[in-house]
Amino acid sequence: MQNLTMKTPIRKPSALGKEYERVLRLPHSSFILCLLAVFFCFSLPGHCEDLDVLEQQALSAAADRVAASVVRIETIGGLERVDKVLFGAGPTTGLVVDAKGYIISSAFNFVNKPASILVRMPDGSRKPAKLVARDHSRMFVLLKIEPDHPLAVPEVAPASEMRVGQWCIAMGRTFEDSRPNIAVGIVSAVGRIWGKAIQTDAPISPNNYGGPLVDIRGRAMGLLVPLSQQSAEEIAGMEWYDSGIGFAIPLETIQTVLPRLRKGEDLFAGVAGVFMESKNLYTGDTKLASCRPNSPAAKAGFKGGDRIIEIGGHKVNRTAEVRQEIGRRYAGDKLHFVVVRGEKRIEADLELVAKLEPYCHGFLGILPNEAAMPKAFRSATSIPIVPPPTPSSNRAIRSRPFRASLLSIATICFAKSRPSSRA
Amino acid sequence: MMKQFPLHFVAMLLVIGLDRAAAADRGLSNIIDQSQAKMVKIYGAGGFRGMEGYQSGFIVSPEGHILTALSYVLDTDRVTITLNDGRRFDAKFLGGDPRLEVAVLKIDAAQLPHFDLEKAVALSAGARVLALSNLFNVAMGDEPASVQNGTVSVVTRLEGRRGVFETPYHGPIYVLDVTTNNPGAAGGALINHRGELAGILGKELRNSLNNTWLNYAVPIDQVRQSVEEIKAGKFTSQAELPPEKMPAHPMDPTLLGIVLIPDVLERTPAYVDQVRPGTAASRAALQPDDLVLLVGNHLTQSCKSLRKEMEMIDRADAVKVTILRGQELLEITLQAGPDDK
Amino acid sequence: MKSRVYLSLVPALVAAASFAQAAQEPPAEVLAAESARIAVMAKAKNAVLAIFDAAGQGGGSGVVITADGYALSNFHVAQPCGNAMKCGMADGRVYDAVVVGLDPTGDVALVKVLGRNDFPHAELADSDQLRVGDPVFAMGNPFLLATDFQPTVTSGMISGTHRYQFPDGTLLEYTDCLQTDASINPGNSGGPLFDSQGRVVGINGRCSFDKRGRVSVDVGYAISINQIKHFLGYLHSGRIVDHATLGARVVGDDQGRVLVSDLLETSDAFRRGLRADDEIISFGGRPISTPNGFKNVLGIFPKGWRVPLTYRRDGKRVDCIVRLAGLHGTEQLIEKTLGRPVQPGPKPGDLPRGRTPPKPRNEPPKAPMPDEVKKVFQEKHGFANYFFNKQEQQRILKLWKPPGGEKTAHGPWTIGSKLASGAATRFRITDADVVLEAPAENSKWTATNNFSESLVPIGSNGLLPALFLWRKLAVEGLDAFTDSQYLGTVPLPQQEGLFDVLVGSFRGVDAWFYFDAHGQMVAMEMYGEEHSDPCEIYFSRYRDAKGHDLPGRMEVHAGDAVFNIFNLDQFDFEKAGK
Repeated sequence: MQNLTMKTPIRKPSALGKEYERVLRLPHSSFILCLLAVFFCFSLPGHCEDLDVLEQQALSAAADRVAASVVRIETIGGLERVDKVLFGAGPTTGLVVDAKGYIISSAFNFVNKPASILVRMPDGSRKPAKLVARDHSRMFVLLKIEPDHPLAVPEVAPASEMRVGQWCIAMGRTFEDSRPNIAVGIVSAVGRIWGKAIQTDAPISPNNYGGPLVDIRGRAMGLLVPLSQQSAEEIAGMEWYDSGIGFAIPLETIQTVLPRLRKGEDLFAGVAGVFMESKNLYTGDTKLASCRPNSPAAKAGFKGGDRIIEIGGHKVNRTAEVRQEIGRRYAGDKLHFVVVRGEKRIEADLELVAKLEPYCHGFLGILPNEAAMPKAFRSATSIPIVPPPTPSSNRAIRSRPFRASLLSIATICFAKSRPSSRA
Repeated sequence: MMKQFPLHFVAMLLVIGLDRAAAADRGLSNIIDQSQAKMVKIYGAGGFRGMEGYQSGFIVSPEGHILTALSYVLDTDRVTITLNDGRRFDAKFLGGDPRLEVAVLKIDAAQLPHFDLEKAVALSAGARVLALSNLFNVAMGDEPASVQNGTVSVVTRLEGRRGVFETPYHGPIYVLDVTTNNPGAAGGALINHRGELAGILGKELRNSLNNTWLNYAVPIDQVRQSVEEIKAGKFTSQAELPPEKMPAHPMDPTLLGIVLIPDVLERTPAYVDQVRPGTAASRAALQPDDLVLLVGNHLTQSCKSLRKEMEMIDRADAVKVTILRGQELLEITLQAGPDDK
Repeated sequence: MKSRVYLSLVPALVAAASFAQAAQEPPAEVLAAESARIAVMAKAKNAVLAIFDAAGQGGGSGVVITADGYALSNFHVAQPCGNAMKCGMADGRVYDAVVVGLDPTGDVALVKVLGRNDFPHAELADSDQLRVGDPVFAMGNPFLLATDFQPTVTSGMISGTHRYQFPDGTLLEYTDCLQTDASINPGNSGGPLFDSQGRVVGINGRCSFDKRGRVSVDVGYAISINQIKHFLGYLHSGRIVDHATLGARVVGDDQGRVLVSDLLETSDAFRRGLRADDEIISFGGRPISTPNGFKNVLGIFPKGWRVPLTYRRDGKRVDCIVRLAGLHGTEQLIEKTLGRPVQPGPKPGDLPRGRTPPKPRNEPPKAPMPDEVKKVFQEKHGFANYFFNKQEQQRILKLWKPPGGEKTAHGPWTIGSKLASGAATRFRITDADVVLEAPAENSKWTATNNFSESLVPIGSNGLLPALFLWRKLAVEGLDAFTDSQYLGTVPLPQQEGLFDVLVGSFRGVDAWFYFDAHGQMVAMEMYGEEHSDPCEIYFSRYRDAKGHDLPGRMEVHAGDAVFNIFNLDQFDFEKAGK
């Protein structure tokens, strides 16, 4: 009985199989598939018992397709503890995105500021890696190694094809050198964390942060990172590890910013400088309380009392929708706003910025953290920004030029605690 | 053409299809029923803060041998067993293997549904599995054990060395993608979707490499021999675990002429500060500011771990280190000479 | 600038094409099953609610179960939100909602989402058909991630059925609940657990948490939808509804038996003959083998329901039907409902077990009640929302065609009947008294200030005052009672389905009037003395007489005994003032 089912023509690479394959890609494929499922259920007794086995095989095959692009990352040095979170010294994961040696990983994996980064290829060889750039909005980093031969790059799943309920496999390479660890789940939601992430119920943890989320066809859907809608810190969301609440940044989005990252450009979340009157994120309307002086919104002439009705071509009615539209944009992005002031309709293109000018002057190059600011200064649409290393704090590292490249991410903390006799 | 297809018809077929799928799940439900019948609830010592007085186990012979985790719960004269059918028994502790952290209990019963250890299967990564246990002591009396569904994430070894996992067991394990490190789950059964036994759920264990809780099971083929020996009364306790073999004369970087930078951080990278002339390091042309990454094949993430790794090597032996110089990885073999100080 | 971005993408794409392993389509069956699941979830999510208080704070989940917006959630989600709440749905809109009924013990709330009559809604499954291993999925708003109101979906299987979870604090006992390994996290509370066909099998509300604190460890619990179905009628009453007690405590023994350890002499179970040390064999139609199993059954039935009980004493089986008493006193329940927050926070160093997921911290709602909600909210002591009680009362009484017709027969009623023996009897019911003329003996009952003083005829537990109240309801309506309400839906022995019950109190007695779906009164009960059996009257063989329904048969019970059966053959309704 089982053999009979295994011989189903659909699974053979025959002409008929090809034809089905073509049909499967049609927009209405889901309906056809349902029909097929019903057909098989009726025509081949015992079929459904095999579905379990077929799914198991298909998921393993999908993971195998991406495995060669999932690399292990090892770090040297670094902090043991960041914000009370204990950091193990264990290996983490990265994903190859370019045959020439570009690898992406979760920013979480480097938040303890290691002195040196090694990438361990699936064949066991190690390569020193340079941290090229960081995406502070989507919490990932770009690494570069000099590979001996072109690296395997995974096929990317189009974001437009992602559906809630589809299979997904989270992959890491933290337990074994020779093969990745996998975790199976479904897509829980799309457009999460202000439009930036796919959500999955597969267990996501330091065991696979930096690895890919893969679909049943073996295409990489996204990069696994801890995230939280309430915080923009690298470790935010880690408290939810393995709880069925996990996130991945769509690879398609990452591809669009790779060219900028490759040039060493760090990316930041875009801020408009609008402050909403309603404190209520979910049900509050879109009336502005004020705009920060010199912010993009202020420069566009927006004022307190204006109501935002449209951002980037999308109608907005609630505070959360404003944040949803702005939250996924980068600093430097131009975004079209429509506000109404009384009867008047005002349209403007805002160029979002990475940070707002503080009301108070920064002291010694350190920007005030939003969390430490008076409540009135905080807004739903601005996001706290980790201050970039100031020139002064980098000097200690620069004084050892050959080490500087390796230490490019080892910032203030490490530099300070290095023995001064070395300077 | 598809657009003309009556949607409700498709929907109807879809529902029929799902019914069929549900029927298939009934197959799984039957397998679960049969497997739950082999599970037992174990009650013993504990019951105070953080130390639950219960755990899980399963029957491995028709005459009442029970395999479970070796833990403080069994550390009492009165361990009671509740079978899946609700019957209660006092259990006799036949023996435990401290290396594997498993124990065998015996109750006075016959013709019990049981897992045959001889028929246990080995799993590979990607296998779908069910974890059966009395987690949180949810089930009482004849209430069946809890069942969780998952996949074998990877087959790996518990790294005993360097204190990554606080357990005496360092053999192969099945890492699972479902949370099984729950109170009372230790000693539960890991089975595949055909109902075949594959592993025993391990005790709560933290992975110090990344500070996460590990969900895992020990393969049955690892414990089979011990269980048979305990059953036969032939088990020789290996309570005294052989300590990790340390060389009589452990190596130290200074013996090779390496002076590391002052170790002032929690994880000071193992940068070479100075190379003493006339030593192994200078012969191998090691340079100041070289970063030692590996000793042998072990990553040295800090000065501390470098020293620890070197301690594993005898002074008389050659030391293979991998260093980072600029952007280059270099492999260097250091051999202390007889005259080196 | 832009073109350069695209140009530099080309190598990456080329690389992707050259190095990725050849694409291989998974088997069609696998894709078909995946598509089917996607389709089911895409439909199911439309009925899921993200619930906030009127100010938009707090948070939990819910699910709409009717097109006119009735929705289920947890008590511990709805209660902190207050009487009016906001609900976000997958269409991206925020709707106003009002509390309808609360079940604090069972942790269930019925709310009504306002503004539409065509809400997408979920079908309810038969959760008793579920087996361990059946696939399920949960939807809701864990950690308030659904800022766009698209619910989070987590999938898993049924890990256990008929689970018992001890009350947390003083309320929120989870009886007969479902256990799942689908991830349930704080914020999932009140949201639905669906079967693979997208039908609701339960309402998620609790998880076992461990050393890691309040995150899922794949051990979540849902209130079974079958339990909620029992309570749904009660919840529609706008009341704060109570759970039941048998008035007995049970213990398990070594042989897997469940024995009565303690019993209230005032309980119905005692009156039905149950005594300490009796073995409970089955309860509510289920065999009982553990105390948890007993508590499971007790938890799924509301106060006032009558359920079958089988016990054994000295080897002899006794079958009976027992009336369940309330678990709480009325004021006690109200106090607990409106009192302190229900779920205590974790104590330092505590390892919480089986606790209710907390709602995210919120401030008391300050926002004024929206006008739309005001229209459907009425405050009354003991009620979550009296508006819905009034509405149900009106619905039933509008359907009922009482004997005598509407307000035309306010004078005395004379009803002739024959007993099974053939003997003729006659009832005469007036505003002041009721007389039963029977061949053997006449009885007369006169209305006093306390009806329970004279429950005649003897052996009927008060048939005559009961008939007085029956006429009173027909002639004067429910408002003529000193205290009246719609109770909810209740089963009757030997009869299929559930019946709407109106309760009226008058001069020291309570009368329960049972109506079927067509508005016919199928039974009434009058509770005279406290802790004693009521007079039960079962009306049947209705015939239509010029627009009003007249019962042809009246069976009168008292306790376990049948008092008499009257075949009603003659009705004479006099006009008032005659």
